[in-house]
This record gives sequence, C-alpha cells and structure tokens, in this order.
Amino acid sequence: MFRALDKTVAGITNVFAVIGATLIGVLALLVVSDVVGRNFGFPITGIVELAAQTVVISAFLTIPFVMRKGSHIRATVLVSRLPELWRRGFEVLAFAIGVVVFALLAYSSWGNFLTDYEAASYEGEGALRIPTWPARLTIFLASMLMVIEGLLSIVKTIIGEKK
Amino acid sequence: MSSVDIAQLAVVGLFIMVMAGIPISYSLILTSFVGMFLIRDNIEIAFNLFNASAYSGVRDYVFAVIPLFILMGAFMTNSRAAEALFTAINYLLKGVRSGLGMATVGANAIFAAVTGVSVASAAVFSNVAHPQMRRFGYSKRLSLGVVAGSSILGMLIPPSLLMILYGILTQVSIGKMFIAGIVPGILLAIMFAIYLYVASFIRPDMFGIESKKPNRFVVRAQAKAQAKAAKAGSAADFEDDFDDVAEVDQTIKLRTPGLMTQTIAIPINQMTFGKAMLGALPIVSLVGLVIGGIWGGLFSPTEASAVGAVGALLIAPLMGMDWKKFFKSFQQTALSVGGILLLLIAAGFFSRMLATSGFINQVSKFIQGLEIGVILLMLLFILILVIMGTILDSSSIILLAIPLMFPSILALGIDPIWFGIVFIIAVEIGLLTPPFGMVPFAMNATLGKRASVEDIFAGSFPFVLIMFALLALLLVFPEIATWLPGLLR
Repeated sequence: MFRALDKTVAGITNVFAVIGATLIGVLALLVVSDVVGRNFGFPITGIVELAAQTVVISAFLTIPFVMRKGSHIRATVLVSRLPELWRRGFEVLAFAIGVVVFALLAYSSWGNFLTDYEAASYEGEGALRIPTWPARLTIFLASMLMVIEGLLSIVKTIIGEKK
Repeated sequence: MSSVDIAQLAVVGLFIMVMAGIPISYSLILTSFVGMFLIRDNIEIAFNLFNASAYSGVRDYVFAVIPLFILMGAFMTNSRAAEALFTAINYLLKGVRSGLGMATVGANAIFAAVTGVSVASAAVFSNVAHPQMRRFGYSKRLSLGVVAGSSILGMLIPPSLLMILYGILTQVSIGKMFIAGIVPGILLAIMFAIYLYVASFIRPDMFGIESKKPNRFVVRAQAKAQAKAAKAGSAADFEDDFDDVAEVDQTIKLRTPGLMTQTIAIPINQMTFGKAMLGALPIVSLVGLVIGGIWGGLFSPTEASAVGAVGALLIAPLMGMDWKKFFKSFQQTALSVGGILLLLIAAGFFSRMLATSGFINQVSKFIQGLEIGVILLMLLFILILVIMGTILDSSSIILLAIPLMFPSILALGIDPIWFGIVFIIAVEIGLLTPPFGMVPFAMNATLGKRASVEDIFAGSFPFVLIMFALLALLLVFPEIATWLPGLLR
C-alpha cells in the first residue's frame, strides 16, 4: 500500500523532472534561434519573455526531483557524525521544515494562479503575449508535490527505508 | 523587539538550522517568512513577499544562463572531453619535467571553460588524470593535490557559476565578471605549473623521477605486464622503462567507480601528433566560440550559454556520449538546476527580509565605522569567507554573504569586479581547506578507498598556499583582475 503510493509519487516526480529538463533543452534552442534570427535579419519577438517564464517553470518542475534524490544543498558535516538515531531525527526535522515551507507556498500561490488565470495576465507586448498562469500553476503543483514527497520521506526515514 | 533585533535573531536561527543539516534553501525561506511576519506583524505581507520571491525570483532572461551553462557542462562532463584535452596537452608536454602534472593543470584550465563547477572538474579529473599520474610514479598525495588544486580553476575561468550568481546579486555585468576571471585564472594555472616544475627538482621522488625505491604502483603494473608477457609465451626481456610499462598497460583496464565509469588506456605512445590535437579541437573551438563571443560583444552571457549548450550537444557524441550519457546529462542538469534556482529564490527572499528590517544598513554602517582601511577589511572578509568555505558549498556562501558584504564594498568605493574575483578565490580556498572542504569529499566519493580525505587535504595544501599568494598579488596589483574588463567598452 505505502510502497504503491511511493511508487506513484515517484512516477509523478520523474515526469515533472523530465518535462523540466526538456524545457531547458528547448530553452537552449529558443535562445540560439533568437541569436541566429537576429543575425540573419528575421528577429523573433517574445523570446526574452518566453525564456523568462521557462526558467521559472523548469526550476519548479525539477525541485521535487531534487528532494527525492536528497540533493538539496545542505551542510551534513556535523549531522553525519551523529549516532544513527539522532541523524534520523535531524533528517525528519529537515523534511518537516520542507513540508511546512512548501505548504505555505502551495497555500498562497493558488490565489495568484486564479487571479492571473481569470484576468488572462500576460508578459511581453505586441504579437507574442506570454500568459503568466502556466508558471503560477507550476509553482502551485510543484509545491503540492513537494509537500507529498516530504511527508513520504518522513515516513521512509522513520521506518528506516534506504533511498 | 525592534526589526533589527528580529533580523539578528533570523541570522542566528539560520546559522543553527544550516548547522543542523536542514537544506539551506528551506532554512532561508523559513527564517525569512517568520522574520517578515514578526517585523511587519502581518502574515499577509509575509505570504505576499514569499510568493513574489517564488515567482519573480528567477523570472528573468538573465537567469536562463544558469540552466544553460549547467547543461553545457553536463554534456562535456559526460563525454570524453576532459580525456581528450589531457591527452593533447600531455602530448605537447612530452618529455618536460613534471609534464604530466602540468598537463593536468592545463587540461583543467581549458575544461574549466566548458564547465562552471569545481566539484565537477574534481570528479572528472580524479578519473582521467589521477590514475595516469600514479602510473608514472607520482606520489599519491601529489597526484591528488594536483587534481584538487587545479579543479579550482573551474570557478575562476569563465563561464563560472559563481560569477553568474555574483553578477545577478550585485548587478555587476556577468560578461565583465567572466572577462575579469581570465587573467587571474591563467595566472593561477601558471603559478601551479611553476610550483610543479620547481618541486620536481626538490622532491624528484614524488614525481616518479630517479626514485630510489620503485613506486608500488609501477611495480605492480610491471608485475602484471610481465605475467601477461609470460602467459603469451614471449620471453622478451622486460626493461625498466616507463614507456614500455605504459604500452603494455594499455590492455589493463582501469575501472573507476563514481561519476564516470570508463576505460582509460594510455594512447600517448601510439597516438600521432595530429590525432591528439584533433581530439581536443572541438572543445577548444567551443571554448573560443563561447568566450570569444562574449569578449567580442557578439553574445550576451545568456546567448553564449545557449550557443555553448547546443554546441556541446553537437560535439559530445563525437567524444563518446551515447544515449545513456545523453539522458544522464539531462538528469544531472535537472538535479543541479532545481537545487540552485531554489537556493536563489530563497536567498532573494532572505535578502528582502534583511533589507526591510534595516539590518543590512546596520551591518554596512558598522563595517564602515570600523575604519580599518581597505586592505585590512579585505583580509577580514577573506578570513570569514575561507571559514565559511570549509563548511558550506560556494553557491550558498555567495548567496549568504554578498547581501551583507556588498553594500559596504560599494560605500567604500571598492571596485565591485575586483572584489568579485577576490571573493571567489577566497571561497574556493575554503573548498580545499579542512575540516570540511567540499572538493576533497567529492574526490573521495569518486575514487573511494584509493584516496582518503586526509591524503587529499594534505596534497592540496601547497595549492592552497599558491592561491593565498594569488590573493596577495590581487590585493597589491588589482589590475590583474581589472585590466582586461577595463578594455571592454
């Protein structure tokens, strides 16, 4: 039951990360096409705004993956020298703080998403208007996923399952 | 409780949380949120600021430079770029005293221009250069120290993640920071090479030259080679010649655990000059395109990073990147990008909280009130940064320390580009310094039992001293950092 849940969540997290990583590749191609376009007389409008939104989206899509892999930047030098039980206690504390932080973000970003979606807010001007709601929605969804990943990690740490 | 008091408590709380192993981004966000709430006594404001930081913290064209350079570095790290560079420079230095060590430094300097992270360079060259130096009789500590020390060049020679973060936080042009790193980076590489040359006369035994007691590694390789020769039925007389050892050694596969698992054979004897140079040509061209493009004003740093990433994607398959490594590059990119951008968002939130509280002003006034003069102040900052560097990774340090240090730098009229370079070198010294420098731990993770953390720290020590010498030079001759960007305009 728990294993199945963990596997499902892992699947979602991986899908998020794959989309995020793909977007980074797309971003590279976008900017290069902008450079090429500008130098050969067919400038593409809106790349700058599109790139800015893409950075936000790919950042949040990859954050849950970072948590699952335990790669968030941290100083483990002191904690890693503690006895096993203490170390696990600090691990749980770290995940719990992550859960709190991203619950706060999920709670407060939903409103922003709704406002931007209903008002059809956009960035940039002229032909290419980039809507802002996809980035807002990504922040909300990624925060929710972080909360779930964090809770799962707490359970896994307590029952002593290795990553 | 005044808002400055609250901010002070937040800084202390942050320190305690970081020491307790809480991820730095979570610690920053939590202390900022609580701090903001207490300062304004209004939770709505805390929520709004958190949201604004999350959405606009990295929403800018400039920030694209981070994922794109990381992607470029990942492609290069997952191909045989480092090996090709090492082979080519080795060829050029064939017969030069301590040439193998110099080749490691040189290859690292060029590899630094396709990757922005020291820890990545350290891991790659642990696999590429360390076994070669050992095979040719370099002492363990020396060989490890060369790899660790020269990996520092990754952060000093553009593109460098630290320079990008510094530019973003301080509004200093990233392009100018990149250009400013070139001369100090090359100078440091030359100083490393000179050290190796001089040291090879003082302690030839450490370099596998004229050693009275044959190196264990060499003896073992010879034994293996002899056994092989015996098995093949050839009773050929085996001479005590390193070249012969190397040639036979080509068949001995070296398996290295960690980041890159690959087979390294020494191709130096059989490889022709042209072949060696041709192998390194794609990387050198890519470096020329990226750095030259920024230097010539052809690309902005963001554009250069995109061109670099696409260029790296085109040449990496020529250098042994298969589909598996292609996907691995993206996976590594996702892992670094998520971590660093979240850290950037969190640090943005934290510095907004500190600015609102008036704490930054207070610190700046305090520092200016010290009236200890620029040199003494810089020495104080360097000391703080080196200490931070022994516990934290470099991007965290830059995000934590710059908001507090930079206002005073501006107020005192110190050149921000020069300070950026000094800052980065000081942080990198911390990465090589016990008890917790990050580079030795990364190398230990790559090499496993073959290299203890203590050995790497000991081996790095001369290189740390050389970096301090570079800092001293920079303090006395700021032009080392400011001359080249001054030519831009």
